[in-house]
Amino acid sequence: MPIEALLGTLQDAWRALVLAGALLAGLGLMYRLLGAMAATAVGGSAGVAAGLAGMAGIFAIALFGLAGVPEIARAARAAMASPACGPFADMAAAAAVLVGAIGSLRMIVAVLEGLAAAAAGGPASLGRAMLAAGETVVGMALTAAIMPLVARFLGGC
Amino acid sequence: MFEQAMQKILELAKEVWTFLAGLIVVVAALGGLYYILQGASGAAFGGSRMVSTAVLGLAGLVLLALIGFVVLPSLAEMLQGLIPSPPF
Repeated sequence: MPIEALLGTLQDAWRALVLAGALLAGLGLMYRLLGAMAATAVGGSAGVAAGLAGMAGIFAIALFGLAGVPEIARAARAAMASPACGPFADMAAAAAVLVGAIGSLRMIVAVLEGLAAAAAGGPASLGRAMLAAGETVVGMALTAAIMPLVARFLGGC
Repeated sequence: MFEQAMQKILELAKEVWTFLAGLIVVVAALGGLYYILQGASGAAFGGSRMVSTAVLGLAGLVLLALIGFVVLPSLAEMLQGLIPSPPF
């Protein structure tokens, strides 16, 4: 029950963060377009190019966050078969689900950071979001691998 | 849990979107006027380069305004449709 309540809270946080990401992407696209139009109005071609490139970066990060991150999280979770045995099975399953949930939130936060940076005119950090995705997958794999080892070491299996 | 805060943020974002759309209209109008002035003065004094620059600038402004009012809302709707359910 406490894990379900915690998962419910994490799911609420996921919904809020994803909605914030979509909002940030939309407003960022509009802001970068405004910058490009202002540069066009005063004849600055570099500003136009920067604005259009920024729009493309925002769109790419938003696509990764809204379409790629959930699939990565689902794939990593589906790949974790029978995390442990004996009395450790429940604990290992709960730990894997929690690690996946927290990792998913971490990935979406990294996407939000990238979106905020790109929307404000900074360098778009899609790489950080992808690094966070990799760390999450590694964390879930480690959880799945370590719990059976601990169970066997303690004689639970 | 976060519904009330997100509702407030959503309302604020709608206002920001409207504000940015208004700013785009203002910038497009001022930039268009500037390019029209530049083209007219170029035509008056026989400066063909000024006229061509003004026409191209005006076309660019119209293109960007079209992107802002036709393409961006479609992209935003597409992103909104992509909002995923929690994967855990």
